[in-house]
Amino acid sequence: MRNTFVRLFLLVRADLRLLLASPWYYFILIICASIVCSFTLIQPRDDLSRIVVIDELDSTVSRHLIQELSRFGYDLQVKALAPPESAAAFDAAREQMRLDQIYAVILIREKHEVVYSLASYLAEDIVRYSLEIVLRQYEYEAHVRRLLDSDRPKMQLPIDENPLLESVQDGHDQVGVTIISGIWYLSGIVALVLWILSKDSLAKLSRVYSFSEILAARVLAGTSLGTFMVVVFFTTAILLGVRFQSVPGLIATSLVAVVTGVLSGLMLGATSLWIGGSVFSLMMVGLLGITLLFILLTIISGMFVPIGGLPLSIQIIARGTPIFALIELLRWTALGGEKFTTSSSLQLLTDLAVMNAFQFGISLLLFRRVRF
Amino acid sequence: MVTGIPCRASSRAASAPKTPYPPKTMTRTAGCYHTVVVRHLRQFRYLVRLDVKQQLSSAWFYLILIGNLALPPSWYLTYPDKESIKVLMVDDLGNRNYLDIEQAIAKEGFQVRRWPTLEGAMDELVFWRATAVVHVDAGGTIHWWAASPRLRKLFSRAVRASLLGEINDSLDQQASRQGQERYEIPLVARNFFEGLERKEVSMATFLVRTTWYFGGLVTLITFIMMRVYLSKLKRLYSTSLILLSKVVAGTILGSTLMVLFVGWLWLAGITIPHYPSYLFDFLLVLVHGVTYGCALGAIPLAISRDPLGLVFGALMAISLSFMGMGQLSAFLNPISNMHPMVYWIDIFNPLYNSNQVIHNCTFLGDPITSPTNLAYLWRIGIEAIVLLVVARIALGRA
Repeated sequence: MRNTFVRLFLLVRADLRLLLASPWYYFILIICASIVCSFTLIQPRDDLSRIVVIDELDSTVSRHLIQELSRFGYDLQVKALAPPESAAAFDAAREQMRLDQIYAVILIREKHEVVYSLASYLAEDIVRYSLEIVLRQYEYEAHVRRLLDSDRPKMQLPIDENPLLESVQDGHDQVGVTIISGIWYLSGIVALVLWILSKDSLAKLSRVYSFSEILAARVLAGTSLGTFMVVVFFTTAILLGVRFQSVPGLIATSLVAVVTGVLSGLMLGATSLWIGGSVFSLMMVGLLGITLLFILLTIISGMFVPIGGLPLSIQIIARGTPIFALIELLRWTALGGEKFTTSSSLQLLTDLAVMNAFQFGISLLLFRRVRF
Repeated sequence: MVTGIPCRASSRAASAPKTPYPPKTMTRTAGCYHTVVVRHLRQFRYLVRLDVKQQLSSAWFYLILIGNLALPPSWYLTYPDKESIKVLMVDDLGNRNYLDIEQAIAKEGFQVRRWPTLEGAMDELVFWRATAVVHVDAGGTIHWWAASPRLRKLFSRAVRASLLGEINDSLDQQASRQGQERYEIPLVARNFFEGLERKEVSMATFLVRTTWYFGGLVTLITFIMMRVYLSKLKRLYSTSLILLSKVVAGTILGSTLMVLFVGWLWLAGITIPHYPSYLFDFLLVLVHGVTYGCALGAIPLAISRDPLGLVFGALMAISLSFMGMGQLSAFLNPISNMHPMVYWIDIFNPLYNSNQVIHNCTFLGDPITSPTNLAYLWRIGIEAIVLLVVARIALGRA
C-alpha cells in the first residue's frame, strides 16, 4: 500500500514539475486574473444605462413620468426641446446609440405619445418593461381620477416577489457562471497539455507503472494545477466585488469543476492517443475538440438562458453535460447560499459523480489500448 | 506528421533551376530579379502547401469541421428570446379572478402552461423543466419565482407591466360602457433591427466570433507543429516568407469553416440582408484571427526554448483572450450599460469592432464606406498589421 502511494507521489511530482517549473504557467495565471476583470466590467448595470429623454411636452405629466422612470436608477439625461429641435435631437441620439454611447432614447411627444428606441440585441429588454410600467401606472391613475373624480392613492399591484435567488445580483451570476465554465475548460486543457508533454515518455512510463496509476496521478496533478487557477479566478472576482453567499459552496463547486475538467481532458487525450497515437492527433482531437466542446456546451448549458423553456432535445442533452451541472451547482450553492443537501444540489452532484466515473472509466479503457 | 523538408528534391525538380532556393546573401543584379521573384513565389507556395496539406490530409481536421456545424443550430435554438421562457401558472383563485393573468403573461410572448399544484410546479422549476412559476393564491395575491437572477429581474418588470396593461384593458371596457374614452399614452417602438429577427443578427456575429477563434487556433497548431523543424526552415527560407505563408495557410484553413458557416446560413434560410459587407467583415476578422495566432505562436518561440510556451502559454492565452474578447464584444448587451472602461478596451477588440460593422452595414444598411464603419474596419486591419509585425520580429529572434 505504502509502495503504491510512493509510486503515485513520484508520478504526480513529475507531472507537477512539468508545468510548475515553467514561467508560462505563472504567466497564464496572471492572464486568468485579467480576464476576470473584463468579466466584471461587462456586467450590465441600471445605474450605468445612459438614457436620453427628450421632453417635447414639458408639462407636469411628462415631468411625473420622468421622475417615475428615474426611480429605476437609470442615468437619465433630460432635454426639454420643442419640435423640430426635438426630432433632430432624437435622431442625433439614435446615431449615438449606434456608437454605443447611449443605451436608449425616449421622446415624450406633445400629443401625449411616447416614442422610444433601444440598443438592445435581445428580444426582451428591461428598460422597455420599466417604461411600460411607468406609463401604464400613470394611465391607470389618470383614468381612475377622471372616472371616479377622486384622488385615489397610488395603486399597489397584489404581487409578492419570492426570495428565490433574491440575494444574487444579475451581474455576479454572469461572472460566476462564466468563470466556472472557464475552469472546466482550462482544467481540461491542463490535462491535455500533460498528455502532450509526456507523450514521448508514455511507453517507458507504462512499463514501470500501471495504467490506472498513471491516470490517477494525472488526475491529482491536473487537479492541483487547476486549483491554483481557481484560487486566482475567484480571489480576483471577490476582490472586484463579486459576492458569494456560501464560501464552502464556492470551494466545493470549484473543486468539482476542476476534477470534472481534468477528467474530460484525460478522456479526450486518451481517445486521441488511442485513435491517432501522435502529438498531431492530440492537438487536433484534444485541443480543438475540447475547444469545440466548450463552445457547444456553454451554448446549450443554460449560461445565457435557463434550459427549462428550451426544446426538449436540447434539455435532454444539456442535462447530460458537465457545464450545465456546474453552472447550476454554483448558482444555487455558492451564489444563492443553498445547502448541498437540497434535492436539486444532490441531483447535480450525483450527475457529476456519474459523469466523472464514466470519463475515468473510458480514459482507462482507451489508454490500455494505446499502442506505444 | 511532416515527413521532411523537401527543399531541393521536389517533384518538379526536372523543370526547376538547379539551385531553386537562392542563399539569402546572393547579389541580386537586375538580370536575376525575375528569377528571384519566381523562386520566392515557389518557396512561398511550397510553405503554404506544407501547412495546408498537413491539416487537410488529416481526418481530424474534417472531424473538427463537421463538429463545428453543431454550433450554429445550437446557438439558434438556445437564443435567449421570450419563447424560451416557460412559465407554469398555478391559479387557486380560478374564475373569481378579475384579471386574466395567464393571458397577460402569454401576451408578452412567454410560454404559459397551467399546472394543477404549486408543489408540482416548483418541482418542475427546481429540476430545470420550467423557467418560472406564477402562483395566484386564494386571496388574489400573485407570487412568482424564476430560475436565474437575470430572468428574475426581467420577469419581475415584465409581469408588472403586463398586469398593469391588463388592468387598464379592463378599465377600457368600463369606460366604454360609460360612453367615455380612457386616457392613454401610446408607446411606440423605433428600435434597431425592427422587422429583422434579432436571433439572426446574433447568429451572424456568433459565426464570425467562432471563426476568428478557429483561425487563430489552427494557425497556432501549425506553429506548434513547425517548432521541431523551425531552425531548418529558417536556414532555407526568409522569416517573412515563413510568416506570410502561415498567414495564407491559416486563412485558407479558416476559410473552410467560414464557407461551411455561410453555407449553413444559406441552407437554414437565415436572412443576411447585405452579403458583400458581411463576407468582407467575416474575411477581415478571420485574417485578424490568423495574425493573432501567428503573434501568439511566434512570441513564445522568441522568448524561450521551453515547449510549454507554445503548447501551454500560447494556447491558453488564445483561449482566454477568446473568452475575454468574446464577452467584451457585448454580443447580448450593448456596452452602453456597462462600465465606461469597456469603451477604451473595445477600441482594440476586433470582435466588438466586427460586431458593430455587421450591425451597421449588414443589417441596418449603412454604407461600409461611412466614416464610422471605416474606423471600425481600420482598427481591425491595423491591429492585424501590428500583430504581423510583432510576429515577424519575434520569429526573427526565435
